Parts: sequence; structure tokens; C-alpha cells
Amino acid sequence: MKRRSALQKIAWVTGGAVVLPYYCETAPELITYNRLPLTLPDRDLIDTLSNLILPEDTDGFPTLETRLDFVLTMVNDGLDEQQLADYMFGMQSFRTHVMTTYEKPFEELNEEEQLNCIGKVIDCGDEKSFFVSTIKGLSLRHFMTSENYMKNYLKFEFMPGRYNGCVPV
Amino acid sequence: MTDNTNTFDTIVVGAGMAGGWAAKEFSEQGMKTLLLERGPNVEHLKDYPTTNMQPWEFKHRGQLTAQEIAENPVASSCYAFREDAKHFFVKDKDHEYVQKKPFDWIRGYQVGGKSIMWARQVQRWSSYDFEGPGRDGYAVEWPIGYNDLADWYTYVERFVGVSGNKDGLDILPDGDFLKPWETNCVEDYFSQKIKEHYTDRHVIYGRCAHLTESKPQFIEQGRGLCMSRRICQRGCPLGGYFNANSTLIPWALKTGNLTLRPNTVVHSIIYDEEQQKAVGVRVVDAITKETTEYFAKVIFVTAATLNTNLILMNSKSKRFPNGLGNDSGVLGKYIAFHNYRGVIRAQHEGHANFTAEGGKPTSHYIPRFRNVYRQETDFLRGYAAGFGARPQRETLTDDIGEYLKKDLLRTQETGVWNVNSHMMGETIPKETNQVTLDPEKVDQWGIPQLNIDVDYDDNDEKMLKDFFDEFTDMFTKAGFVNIQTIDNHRKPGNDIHEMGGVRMGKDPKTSMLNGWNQMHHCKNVFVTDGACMTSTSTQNPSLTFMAISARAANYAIDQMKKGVL
Repeated sequence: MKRRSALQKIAWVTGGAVVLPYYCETAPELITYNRLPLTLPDRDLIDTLSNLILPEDTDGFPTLETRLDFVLTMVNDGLDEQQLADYMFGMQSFRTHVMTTYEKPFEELNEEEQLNCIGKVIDCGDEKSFFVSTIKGLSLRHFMTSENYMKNYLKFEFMPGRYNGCVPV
Repeated sequence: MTDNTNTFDTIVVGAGMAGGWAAKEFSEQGMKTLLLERGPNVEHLKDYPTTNMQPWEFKHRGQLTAQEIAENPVASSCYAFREDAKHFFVKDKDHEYVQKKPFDWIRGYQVGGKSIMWARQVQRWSSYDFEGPGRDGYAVEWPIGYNDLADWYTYVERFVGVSGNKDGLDILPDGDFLKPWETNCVEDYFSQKIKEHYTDRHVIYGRCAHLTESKPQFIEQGRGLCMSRRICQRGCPLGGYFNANSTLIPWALKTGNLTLRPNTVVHSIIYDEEQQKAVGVRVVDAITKETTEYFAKVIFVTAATLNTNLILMNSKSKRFPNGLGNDSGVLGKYIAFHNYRGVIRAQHEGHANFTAEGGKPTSHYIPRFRNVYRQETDFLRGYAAGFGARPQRETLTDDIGEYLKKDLLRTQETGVWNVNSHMMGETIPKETNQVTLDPEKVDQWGIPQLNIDVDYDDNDEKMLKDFFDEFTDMFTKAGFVNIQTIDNHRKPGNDIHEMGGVRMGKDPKTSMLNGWNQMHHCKNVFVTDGACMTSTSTQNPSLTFMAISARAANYAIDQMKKGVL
């Protein structure tokens, strides 16, 4: 996988220590995500990607936390060191890819171009794909664990008190 | 310190299922009892912090953080160590041990022990299980048989509440059951197909410790009916399943005869050379690290299998330099467990017009059918298996944008049922599967760490293959498709059914305990948790530990009343 070889290269350059390949100061607003050195533009990019992949519907499918907070929390808390490094490297690589391909940043593409770009990146299986796929996976999880979706689409019952094992459809 | 406040009739070490039963029996029958627990107290209702949380209320939706996984390679190997119940499991760094061979030692240090998070399957042993070692010539013969335990199983089942069917099988004796939950059409179908093709195999309802009917004893315990929330590992606000916290502990406390002392680590049992018996226990306060001694006429060690071994090995005296009661040298040896490595999955297309609604807290069970009446395979003993079936749901997630949202809202059942089974194999107790005190490493209370040297053997590998072969046949005969067999490579211990090390037996030269769970060489010390098990059979063992504990406690009470103990 290209991502692995890229990271090996970084590890070589830094003398073997695994470091985040993305150098920046964490924005003070984002200090709760203490393992993620994010800038505000980084945050906005993740938010934009998440909402393009699966538009947040706070009226129809309300949740206790915002989509962005959930995605950032899960990335921050759920990914191990290697995955976090991959994620940050993937973000950088995603930006580079967009600039190379479209000659402007992702934020300046129109929505059709953005969706088209995301679709292609998810399928390519490299480091930028990991970055976008992680956002997609977490966006799906946030939506699919919303109260409305679980109760009304997945038939979740917290306390059913009954089991009917042979119900004609 | 030998003042009266530290002296009791009985001391019970460990407030889990086995210790809870001993404490209940003693205090109910007027014995002043001290129940020691190394972990904190967990009071029913009060100390179930996540019990009413909805899935969407968990910050990580049930998932562990990367840090929790990295810090707890052992605990996080357990299926139930998740965001909702992780507080009931021992964290690796707090209680280190030495793995001479890989062993997942899953522990629950608190009042109630692992009874809070257990899987609640309660199948009786049959006479074939007790007769195994004698017939097949491994380990040593059990000093008791099914008939010695049958009434105690009933006694325990009535108090605990067990939902089950009367199946009339000699291999899995019926008990005192509450009504079963409804079965589903694929469970029934598979059961019928197996009946058509085999005379010796049965697919039955898995008997489980859940209340499906109200009875006076459950009302007195303050427990309500199980509402099938299926998040039992968090503790149940209804008392719908059995744990020691909602039943045994408050029941014993109500008598006024029980003193419960949480946060108390037992260092060792004190043996008096002159009186030639145990007189008490030496403990370390888990928080202050202060040492205290408590005294009693009778001591029950029910600290959970491996910790019971550890305490006895650490109880050294002039009379017993190798651990309490260990003249035979078998203490810590013949540790066995259950082989849970085999899983088989498939799909069933024959009930496309049916689905299931609601939920139930159990699945189906296939009692052992290998080597029951005679030796018939190239491996010893056999395996039981679980069986489950549920409608498959399909949710398309390939797309993005509004298309993805539309796909998600179109989620639906496909008509296919996913079916699965997992093996629960008996492992053969061997001298080489053993635990010892590590000669160098100690825990934070100055007690030697346990060194665990336990592994699978050739018998386990053959049994695993047989499970795959036989269940592939059974699934094929039932018409299931897409059959997949999976060796999950679970490590020993991950089954959380470790047993032995302080085994029962007829001969003091080759065993530690007699038929009443009394130490052959120190008669006022009893061991009634998993450590006492001579062999493991295939059933989930908790029910048997409880029946053995109740039986032994009543024997001890009788002996105390007669002045023998």
C-alpha cells in the first residue's frame, strides 16, 4: 500500500521515530481533541467532507452531539498512533491531490466536483482514501446510531419485554 | 489483633457467585460471617452507572478508545469489555501477572465478582460428566456424582431463577425451570432437521438465569421480570437476571449476621501449628495497604479459580511449606478450561417470509454428543455448542451524498437468516497446565504475582476439527448455505471458564479436597469455586459452582453444629 511506503519514508527521515507528518499548532478551539494537531481550516475540511458524504439532518435525525464533534472525538480517541499518523498524512495528501488535479483547493470546487472528487478518492485505496473513508465510516455510524434511525429503521427496542420468533412478513 | 470484632464463625474469601452462596447459607443459618472482597462494593441499583443509557448516549457508541485497548491487551480481549461495562473489569496494569504461555485472565474484582457481567447460561452437569475422568482415565476420579448434586442444583435454581424447557435428556438433566422465551422459526427448523438425521444430537433452548415468571422468592428478593434488554453486563435495574448483588448479598445482609468488607485483599490463610488447623486470614486493605487479621472456625476460599490457587500457594507454614494443604503437591496443577476456538456461520434461505420481533436473552444449545456413552473418537471427551439464528438486514452504504441517505432509509431485512454456532470443548486437566507463584514479581500489595503456564494440546486441536466437520455436516443436512468455519484462535482463559488447581478427589495423595470440598489436610478450609473442579466437562460452570458452594456450606454448618469443626 502506498500509504505504508510513504510512512516508512517519513520514519526513515525522522530516524525511525513515528511522528505526525503534519506540522502545525493545534487551534485553541480544538484543544479537546488533544491527540489531533488540527487547525481551524482542517476542522472545516473534515466537516465539509462529512456533510458532503452524508448530509447531517439535525431535524429528522437529531443526536446529542454534532456530527463534527462525533467524528473528531472518534478520530481522536479511537485511532491508534499509526492510524492517527495515517489520518493526518492522508489529509495533507488529499489537499495536495485536489490542488494537483483541480488546480484549486477543495473548498473552491463546486459541489458536483467535490462529490466526484470524494467518490474517486474513496476508491483509490491509498492514504488520502483512508482519511476520507474514516470520515465516511464515522459519519455513517453517527447517523445510524441516532435515536430515530435505530428505533424506526433498525427496529431497535431498548426494553422489548417480548420475543416473537416467527412473525410472517 | 485478636479482639472480638475480628472474630467470626465463618470467613468467606471472595464475594462472587460461589462466595455469595456460602455467605447466604451461613448467615441465614445464624453463623456470624465475614465476607471479604478485594474490590470495591457494588450495590444493586446504586452502582450500575450505565444501566439505563441508550446506545446513542455513549460518547464512543460502545467502542473502546485506542488508549484503553493499548493499555489493556488482556481485558480488551474479552467480548464484554466495552464502553458500557468496562468499569466492572480488572485493568491490566492494576493487577499484573506473568504469562509463561499466553493466557487471557479476565477478572472482575468487586462485590458480585463476574456474576455482574456473566453470560447467564446455566446447564446442569449429568452423571456422564462426573464419570468422565474415571471412565477415560485422565485426571482423577470425582468424589461426587450427579446424585450428590441434583438436589442442590434444584435448590440453587429456585433461588436464582432459571428459564428453561423440560427436555428429558440424560446428557443434560432438567431442572426447576421457569417458562422459556419463545423460540424462532429457524431454531425450531434446525432442531427438527437434526432430529430427523440424528438420534444422539439435540438442539434445545439454552437454559438461562433470567426471570420469566414471578415467584414469592423473587418478590422477596426485590426482583422483577426480565424485559429482555440484553445489556445485562451493566447490571439490571429490574433484577431480571441473576447476579450476586441483587440476590445473595442483600439476602445475607438482611439477616444481620453478615459483615461485608470490600477493598480487602487476602494475603494468606493463617495456619496454627498447635491447633493443627487454619484459624483465620491475613488481609491487606486495598486502599490503605494496612495489614489486619481476621479469625473464624471455618474458612471458605472462593476468590475465583486462579486467585484461590494463589492464596493457598501463598499460605505457607512450617506444616505446609508448599502451600496450605498441599501434601500431595498437586496444588496449582491440572488447570483446565473450555476450548471456545471454533465458530461456524452460514445462511438459511428457507424462511424468507418470516422474521423475529423483540428480543430474548438466550440462544439455543446443543449438549455434548461425542463420547457420551463410550469412547468413539480419536480424541477424549467432547464439546457442547451454542446455536443462534436471526434475520439478516441489508443496508447499502456504497454511495455518497443524498443517494447514501436514501439507501440508509431503505434498510430492510433480506429474508435470509444468519445462523451460527460456537463450540464449548472440554479440555483435559494435565499436570503441566499449572500456575505457580512468581519467584520475583509482586503486586502492589506485596503479594507474589501469579505465573500462568497453560496451553492447548493435541486433543483440543482434534476436537476443534471434529466440531468443524460435524457442524458442517449438520448445517449441510439442514440446507444451510455459505457455510464458513472459523478458528478464532482465542487464547486459553478467554473463555473465562478456567478451573482446577485445587481439585476434588477421593485420594489425598492425588487431590486437595474431599467430596465435601474440605481440604484433605486442613479440614476447616473449604474451596468451592472453579478451583475445586476435577474436570471441566462442557457446560458453562457457574451453576455447578453455586450448587457445590451451597452443598459444602450446609455440610460445614452441620459439622460446626456437631462440634466437629
